[in-house]
Amino acid sequence: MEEEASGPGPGGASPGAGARADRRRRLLQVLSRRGTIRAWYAGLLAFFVVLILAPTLYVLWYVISGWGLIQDLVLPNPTLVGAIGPALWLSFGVALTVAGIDLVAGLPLAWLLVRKDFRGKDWVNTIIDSPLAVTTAGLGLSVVLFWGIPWAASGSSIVPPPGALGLTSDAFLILMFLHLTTTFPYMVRSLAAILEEIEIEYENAARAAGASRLTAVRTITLPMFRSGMATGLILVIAKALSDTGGAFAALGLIGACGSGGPSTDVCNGTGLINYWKNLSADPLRPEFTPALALVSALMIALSLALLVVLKYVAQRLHFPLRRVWPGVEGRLSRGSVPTLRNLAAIGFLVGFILVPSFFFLLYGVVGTPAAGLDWRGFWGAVGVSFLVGGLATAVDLAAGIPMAILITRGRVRWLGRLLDALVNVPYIVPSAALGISLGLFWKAQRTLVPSDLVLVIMAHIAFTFPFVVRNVVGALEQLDPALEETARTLGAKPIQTFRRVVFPSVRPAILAGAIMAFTRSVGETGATVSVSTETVTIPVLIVNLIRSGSFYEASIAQVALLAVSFAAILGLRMVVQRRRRRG
Amino acid sequence: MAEVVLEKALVRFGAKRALDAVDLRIADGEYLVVLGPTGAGKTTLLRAVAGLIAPDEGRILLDGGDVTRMQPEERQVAYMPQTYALFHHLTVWENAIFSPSVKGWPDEKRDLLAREMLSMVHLIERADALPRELSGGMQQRCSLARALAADAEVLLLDEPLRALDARLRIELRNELRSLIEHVGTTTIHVTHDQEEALMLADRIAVLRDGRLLEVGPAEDVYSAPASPFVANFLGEMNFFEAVATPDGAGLRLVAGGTNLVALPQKGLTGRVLAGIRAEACGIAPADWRAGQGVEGVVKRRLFMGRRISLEVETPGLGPVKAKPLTALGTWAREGEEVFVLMPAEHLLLFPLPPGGVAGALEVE
Repeated sequence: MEEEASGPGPGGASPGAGARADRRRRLLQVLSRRGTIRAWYAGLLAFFVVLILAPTLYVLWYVISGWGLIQDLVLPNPTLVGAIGPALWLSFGVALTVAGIDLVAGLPLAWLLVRKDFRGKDWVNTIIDSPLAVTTAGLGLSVVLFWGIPWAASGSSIVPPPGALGLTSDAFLILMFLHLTTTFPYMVRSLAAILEEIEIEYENAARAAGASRLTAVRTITLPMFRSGMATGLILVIAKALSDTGGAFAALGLIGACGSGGPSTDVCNGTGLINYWKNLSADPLRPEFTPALALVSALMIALSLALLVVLKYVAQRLHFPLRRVWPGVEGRLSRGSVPTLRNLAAIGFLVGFILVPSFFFLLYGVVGTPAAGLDWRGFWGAVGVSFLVGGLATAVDLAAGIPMAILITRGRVRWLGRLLDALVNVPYIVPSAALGISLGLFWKAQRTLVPSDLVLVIMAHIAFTFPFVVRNVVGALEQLDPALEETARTLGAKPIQTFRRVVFPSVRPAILAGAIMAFTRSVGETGATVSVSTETVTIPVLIVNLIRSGSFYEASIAQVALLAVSFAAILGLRMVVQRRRRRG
Repeated sequence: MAEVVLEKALVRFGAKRALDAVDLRIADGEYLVVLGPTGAGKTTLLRAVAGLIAPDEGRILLDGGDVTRMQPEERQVAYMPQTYALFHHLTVWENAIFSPSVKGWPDEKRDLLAREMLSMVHLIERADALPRELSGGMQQRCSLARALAADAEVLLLDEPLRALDARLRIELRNELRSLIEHVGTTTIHVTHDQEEALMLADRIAVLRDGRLLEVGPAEDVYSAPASPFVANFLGEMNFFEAVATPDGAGLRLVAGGTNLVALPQKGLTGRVLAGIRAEACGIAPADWRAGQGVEGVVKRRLFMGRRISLEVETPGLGPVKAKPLTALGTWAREGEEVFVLMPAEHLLLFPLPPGGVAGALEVE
């Protein structure tokens, strides 16, 4: 081994620098020791299980072990029991229906985006994502104003903005319209991402062999799509099942779900959780806590079951019909049919997604302010949201990056695969149910009961954790293993390899994961209200405004929020550009 | 600089033996080329020496010390993969100083070595460039400089010239060898290109299906190969069965009605497998007899640039391939009667392979 300078060398290296280099080397030795690495991973696993997985699933245990309590307090109560079935039916029914519509309408749109080049494509891309900028509560308001017949608790009739269709007060339909706006961008993105990976060469080969475009797509391209489609469907269903703020706001606006209106008993799953959570604060009504546990446990169990079924079906499902109808499919591939299809897709996008999403903005223009927005309250809520989101994202990164490394590069392969699957659990589970479970978990152990705000942050950590992990895992799996191997043969210890070779390559994925986690947290209603009825984040604020009939104020708050998000994203982009230019 | 020894090294991938009890000793400072077809286990051998794969059985020794269980980063072995694996977010300079940097060398010493290596490969002017801005040849040189700057005991090159176009490959072949010779590191260079192997190696090791067939100086392995496979792999051979009987100082070979004289080899007599390289066969007009050989008719003629490839159908030995230099063979046209010259000193003899000639030559 070459001599290392630890005293004044020919270049005049100072003894201080030598000592510091010595210390760093010793630290590196310690950190690289097998035992240290193992301890680090053990700690990581403990973190994941104790702080994320166990609290998420605790309610299942609570229901089983506390069945006696449920038997005594919940089952004899027909109002309670009778509400659960229809609520679950509403939640899952809407989610599955919306997933199907998203798929059918999203496919041609994804096609247009990936296969065709046209002017303004960037604009279309941004527009498709735009509903994601609005909180789901705002979307709920907007959708009811556009499609529905709004109902106000005060009894006064609401004048919707001009252009409103005012078609229906049916809870299923309203929720369906709502979730089309909350989930459509996700479906289009998932499908587009897969389409981009499937090389057009396969399709071209089929067409060169004489197949019409429709036949080529149906028999060659679409089957390659399968696993990606399954992912898209799972994403969409999870999102629709999980949404609380939007459902609660929308249902309240049509006089359902605890608003005191004509259909006040009609709720979906998360709306029910929200409604009962508010009622459970009353110490004289102890039956609501076990009732909440029951609903949450059922939602969690059913979502996980649905996930497994979907994954299984995706593997086994074969696209039917190997048969080809050259005549018919040929005609459908030419002439006006594709154009009509494209127009229909765009029409769907505009009429069912964009207009209903932003319709509430009109209310800011034509509505009458009841009291004017409480700006102090607004900025307070912004502060709380950013605090919760920021802390949650920070913890996600600190634990998520090592977790991703463990999953992709760990020595124990089955553990990595198991963790890869388990990490998805807090993501699939409806966040309101997660919140209930987490709250029960921490309240159950007596020594250290965290404050409400801490509980909210922990809940937010739990459901945003998968975003960071999945993004980083994806990037790590794409990384050429030769890079790390070469680094090791050049003498780099594992930590050095990570810091100098791996990290710079996955930095964009880490950033993307962090942004997704943060925006998801900021937009979350369910996990917040199901943990604490006092913590007011932005979405909670907007839901409250809507349910109390202050539509004008809610619209203003939503617009202000859009401006803040826009400024934040712009600022972030400028910071990243500047760093890139410098570095 | 270190001696590398593989002792009965065995690597299994499932049921397949990627390395089958390989015994190999590479001397300090030697430039060994491992030659073999795809799937022979060449890369596995390199990775085992590098420490990226742990052998299931056997040992790896570096400078006499058993490193079989040692991690790659401890081994002082630099590995240059086929894809060069340049760190794409680092400049040429940063790539070059990577190894001394992570080993904690003082800045001055590190910079000195990196500068020396980059100058040697003529990349010092591009020190600030990113890998994606470099051409294929430059990337290869950068990867080499980085490996050399690791100041390792052993240098492992995995098909270092494969990704380059043909002309660059030939150009850089010489440069590669002289650069490494200058530094003097023990080198194991893996390739499937026999011309490259013959040109660069001190010794050649021929690998097939995980087994080491032959090791020896390039010229020896070329002119006196131990097996038909090695003979054929180093240059297309014509094989035919013959009966060898001692005749004075030489051997008389009788095959298919043809009489040839060969030099005694390996003590072989009786039924043998005889062979001669296509490149070693000369071509003469049918009635010209200054030398021994077989007569026949040209069935196919292919112009290959430096050489002419002729498939000659001979009544005595069946189809024979001759590849004379273009200057000497260009006159022979398809359908013409020719005489294929087979000089005695180029006739190689082997024991008859039990499974037949075709099986003995199979590459897969």
